[in-house]
Amino acid sequence: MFEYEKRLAYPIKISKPDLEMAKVIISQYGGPQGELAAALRYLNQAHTAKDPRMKALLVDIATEEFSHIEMIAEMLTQLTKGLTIDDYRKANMLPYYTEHGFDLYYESSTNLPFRAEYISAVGDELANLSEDMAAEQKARAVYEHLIDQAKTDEVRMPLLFLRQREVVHFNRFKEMFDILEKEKKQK
Amino acid sequence: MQHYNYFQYEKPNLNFEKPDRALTLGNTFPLEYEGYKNYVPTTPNNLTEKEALMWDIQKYAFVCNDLGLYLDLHPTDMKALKYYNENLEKLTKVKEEFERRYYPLTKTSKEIMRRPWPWINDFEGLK
Ligand SMILES: [Fe+2]
Repeated sequence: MFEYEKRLAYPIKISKPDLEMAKVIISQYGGPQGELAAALRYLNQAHTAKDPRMKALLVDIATEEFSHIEMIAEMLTQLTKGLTIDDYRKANMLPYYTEHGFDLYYESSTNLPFRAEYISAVGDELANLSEDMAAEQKARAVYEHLIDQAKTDEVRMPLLFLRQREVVHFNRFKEMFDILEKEKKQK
Repeated sequence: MQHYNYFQYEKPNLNFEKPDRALTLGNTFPLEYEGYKNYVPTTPNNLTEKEALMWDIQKYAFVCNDLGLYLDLHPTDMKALKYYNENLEKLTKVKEEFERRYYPLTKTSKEIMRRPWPWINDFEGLK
């Protein structure tokens, strides 16, 4: 089960709203390589993972990804804090305002709502781990595109933190993959 | 219960970042750090007293989480276990101090019982 802890994994303190930046960061909220997809992918795979090490790893990384959804949500909230309909008009975001007002929504930077097709589970541990490794690499690439666009350290630092987490997650999945493959051969 | 020969995967001479630097980088094992371009992650400065205590919680929790992922695959790595336990001990202490001074972090915190339903106030996580 989950118990909510009233704190962020890493501090978010953005003093200046920036709708253009929020418009692209939203992709790591509900986009194809986003944190929601990551959290759901790993938590779902964990239930049926046969290897106890893999089950533990999937649950732990899924839990961490939920804390990343929260970080991204907090960045979006602070980046849009105090903005008006007029600001949304200038940023061509009236369609978004029409659907969601000033709320957040799980969608990509190209306005595609979150879809279950972003994640997969195919009933094979090595295949699932390959998907997980690819997902981490793709998320890392998207973070790099976002860091390229960031204008301040207040936005850049949490993105650099999140990017490195994708690197570490990739390494753990890769390690798990290598362990299972090696043990399979030894049998 | 299956048995694995964990030892074959243990890494000799494993090193760890100190908690402040680990949270700053998002990385605990120096060998795993991969910077991006010339960006240098910096530790936030001019924190308020409350934010500084929160940072301490965040850094010890971060190290525990990151080592936890490693320990899932290397549960007999004594060096990693020792660093995990050290950080967990510090985490417990700073959490207790934060909850005493500011607000309970979870609904099962001891602090919940000392005040009239404090859960709806001080939603610091989501400012
Ligand atoms: Fe990840």
